[in-house]
Amino acid sequence: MTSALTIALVGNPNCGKTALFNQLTGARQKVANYAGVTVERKEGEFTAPSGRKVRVIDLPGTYSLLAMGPDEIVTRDVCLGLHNEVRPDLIVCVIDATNLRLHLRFVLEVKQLGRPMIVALNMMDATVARGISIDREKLAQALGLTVIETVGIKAGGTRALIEFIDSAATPALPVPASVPEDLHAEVRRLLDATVVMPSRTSAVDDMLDRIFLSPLAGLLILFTVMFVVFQAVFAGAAPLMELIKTGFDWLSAVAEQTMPEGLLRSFVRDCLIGGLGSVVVFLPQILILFLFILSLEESGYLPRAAFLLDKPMSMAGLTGRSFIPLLSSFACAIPGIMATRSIHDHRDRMTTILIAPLMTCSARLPVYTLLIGAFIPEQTIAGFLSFRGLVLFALYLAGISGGVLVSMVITWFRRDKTEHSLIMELPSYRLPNIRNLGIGLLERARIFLRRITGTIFAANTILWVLTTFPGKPVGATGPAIDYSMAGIVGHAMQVLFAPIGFNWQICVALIPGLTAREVAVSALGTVYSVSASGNEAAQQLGNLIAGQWPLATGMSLLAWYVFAPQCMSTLAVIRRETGSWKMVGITAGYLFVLAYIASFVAYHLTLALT
Amino acid sequence: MSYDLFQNAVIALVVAYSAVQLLRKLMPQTTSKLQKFFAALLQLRQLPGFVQRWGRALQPAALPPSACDSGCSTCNMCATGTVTDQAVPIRFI
Repeated sequence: MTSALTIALVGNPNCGKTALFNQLTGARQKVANYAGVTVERKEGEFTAPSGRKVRVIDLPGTYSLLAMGPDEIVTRDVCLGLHNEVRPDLIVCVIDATNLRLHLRFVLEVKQLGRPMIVALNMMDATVARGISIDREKLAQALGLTVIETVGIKAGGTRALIEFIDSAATPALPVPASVPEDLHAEVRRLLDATVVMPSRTSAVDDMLDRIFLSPLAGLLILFTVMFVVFQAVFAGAAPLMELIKTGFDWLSAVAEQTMPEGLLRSFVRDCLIGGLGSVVVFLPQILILFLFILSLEESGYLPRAAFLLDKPMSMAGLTGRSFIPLLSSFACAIPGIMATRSIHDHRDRMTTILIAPLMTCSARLPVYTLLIGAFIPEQTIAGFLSFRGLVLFALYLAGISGGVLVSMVITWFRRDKTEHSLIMELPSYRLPNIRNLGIGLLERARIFLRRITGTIFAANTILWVLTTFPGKPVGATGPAIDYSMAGIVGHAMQVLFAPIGFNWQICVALIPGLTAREVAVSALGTVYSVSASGNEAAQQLGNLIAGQWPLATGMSLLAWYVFAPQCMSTLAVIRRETGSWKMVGITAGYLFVLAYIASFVAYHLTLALT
Repeated sequence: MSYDLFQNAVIALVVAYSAVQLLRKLMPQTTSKLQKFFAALLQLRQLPGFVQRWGRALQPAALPPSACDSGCSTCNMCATGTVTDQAVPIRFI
């Protein structure tokens, strides 16, 4: 058996390094059709057919080893063995075979390091589809490197690469050659000698870009896409949600009938079914939202949207480069904040980090849906538009507007008002792969359920204890929950939150909600389930709060969740990414103030109007 | 065993488990240090072998270095665990 080997996958952004990494190691790291998805090193292992262990390092994409951003620094350090990084035994320079003009320049730069390396000519399937002919042998000869064809997105697409790695006892050093002064000229020479392209760009891409990048039609399409997503979230999920609700109602009835009265029954009914069940019902909506997000990510449309929004974003003091991190924040603020590593200007990066928590993450969806379902009537506008879907869309827009406003304020305060132009690579359009979408959705469902059985279950159990103990004192007349620890804390907090219409139950739900936003829903479910009596216990949480809260309170809580810093993990990531507690304080502070003001306005405005 | 005792035991276990999970989520480094401390305590040579084995089992796995690798499991973007070990050799069909 030959010795273990460490290989590093390097290359320009969006050339398919992570897809290759996933193929090689069996991992399921996030891949998408735009630059800047990977911002940190990932490691995995596989065992080659000979039994040789191969450690694979997937590195963030970079256009040059002259690193500018934190993501590029990681790649540079590994390639050069800086800062205690162990140099890989073999560098696999991954290049997009449909865009050799750009990618070969980086190959020549890496070659200058004089380290053992090979070239993986990736996306060969797309090359064939576009009629591009590459003389691989000739290219290998001209580069003085082994060149291997790969298809990162297809099973078996890495076979040749694995066979090479497995067969090479010690990877060869590149053939020493004089380094050309002008790398671009050298690339042109290589292309002339080895590649035949029918056209420089894809005809389909050009045609679609004429539509999607049009200043007017493009923006209209972008707006329509977003609109359709939120309509679909409400309209498409309803039947499945109803089914899950019915299932939990049945479970609740079974628990009530079969279990003897006592603590365990209270735990199962109030915490497990009443609490966790109230969050599980949102799974269909989460999946529909991610079906759209994953499809858009794979299609290559998102960088176009960034390009379209560059102008409006620059007016708010942001750049189009902030678009992808902010868009990632719609799934979760944490990867969004991490994706800001691809923003090389420190000032722009900090601004983006500050406003990322304002983008509506998927964890807010259960809270929004619960409140919209409870307080917004189910009616259609113009015969087909769901009014609830419109409200959801408006809430997302409110988050975006909040971010834009905050960015404008930051720009107004800062001394350096220079604008940074956007240079961004637009990838080829791609039809989303059904299998990949399916895997992505399964992964989302698994993670959502894991959150429910992990963090949400743990937070809810502790809350159930706090709402159950200590029991009602002898001779007390009020409901038992009023005398519990949670009841006491909730009533104490109500002093602060009464001006924005929050009752003590909401105050209690806000505390565990800090661990994850959806916990607020399960927490409300538990609090109302514990305090419910008779018929109330059988009611769904939405019906309960609709009957007990005034409309103004519902609107106030909606406004609160648009802005509130209700996520400890996000604050922790801000600390890690900025290395500053001050930034954490500023973020939490301004979000809290914004949330309080928005809720105050929403509450009193609704009171005045109703 | 009476039903009351049984249900109290179940609730106590669930609550203890939840408390540990929450502490791990909110204070990963502190809980890891605590776990290391107790693991080292249980592995003292003076203690019986089975206790030392508990100590070894309690030893926390090294926390991955940063960001999505930290195992926060808050979102999806980190997908499944980063470090994968495909022990079975790849076979071509």
